[in-house]
Amino acid sequence: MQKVLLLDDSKAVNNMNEALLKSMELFEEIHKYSNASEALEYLKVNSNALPEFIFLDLSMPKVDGFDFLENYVQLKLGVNSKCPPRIIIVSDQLFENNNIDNTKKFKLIGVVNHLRKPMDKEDILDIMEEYIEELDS
Amino acid sequence: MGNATIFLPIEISMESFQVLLPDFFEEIEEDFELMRLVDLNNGETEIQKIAHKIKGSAATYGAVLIAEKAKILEECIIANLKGNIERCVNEVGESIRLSHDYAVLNFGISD
Repeated sequence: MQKVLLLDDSKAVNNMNEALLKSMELFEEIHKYSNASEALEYLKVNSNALPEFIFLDLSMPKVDGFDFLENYVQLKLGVNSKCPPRIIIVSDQLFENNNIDNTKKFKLIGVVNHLRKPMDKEDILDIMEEYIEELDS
Repeated sequence: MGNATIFLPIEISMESFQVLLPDFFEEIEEDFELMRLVDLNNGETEIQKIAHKIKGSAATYGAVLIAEKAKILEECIIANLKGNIERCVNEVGESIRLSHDYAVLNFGISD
C-alpha cells in the first residue's frame, strides 16, 4: 500500500501510531497531522494521489474530527476514484455519549471502522484484511 | 496514589519506546500546565477537553496511572462535582510526576 494519513491533535499519539505502522511495513508513506485544517489542505493539494487510509481522532481543538468529516465531504475528494480513502475513527469519544448512533451516517462518507485508543496491530490487520477482501471481490 | 508502572506496548521495541517517551512527557506536561491555567470555576469544558487528550495519549503509551487519573477528572466534570475538580487536577499532575520518575528509572529517559 502507498499512503496513510494520521490525524490526531496529540503529536505523541501520532508518533506512536507511526512507529506501529512502520513496524508492520504496510505503507510506503506515512503522513502525520496534528491539525485538521492542515490535513484537509494536504488532501486538497494531493487530490490526485490520496491516501488509502485516514486514521482520524475526533476530539481535537478548533477543528475537531466531526468538522473535519464535514469539510472532507464538501471537498468531494475521491468521489470518482475506484478506491477512495477509507476513514478509520480512532477515538473513545465515539463509544461515549451515544455517539455510536453516528456510525450509520459516517459509513456514507467513507468511514469504514472505528477503534478505541490505543489502536494495536491486531486492529490494523483486521482492517487491512477487510480492505484486501473488498478489493478482491 | 496508585502504581505508576508504564507498560511497554507489545508491538513497539524498547529502543523505539525510549526514543518516543521524552516527547510524550514533554507534550503531556505542557497539556497539564495549560490545564492549570484554566479557571476552575468557569473552564470545566476546557479542562475536560485537555483531560480527554491526556487520557488518550497516556493510554497509548501504557501510562495507566495517568490515564486513570485523567479519566476520573473527566468523569468528575461530567458529573458536575465542582468541589472535586481541583483535587482531581492535582492528582493528574501527581500521576504525571510519578510516571515520569518511573520512566527515568526503568526506561532510561533523561530526568
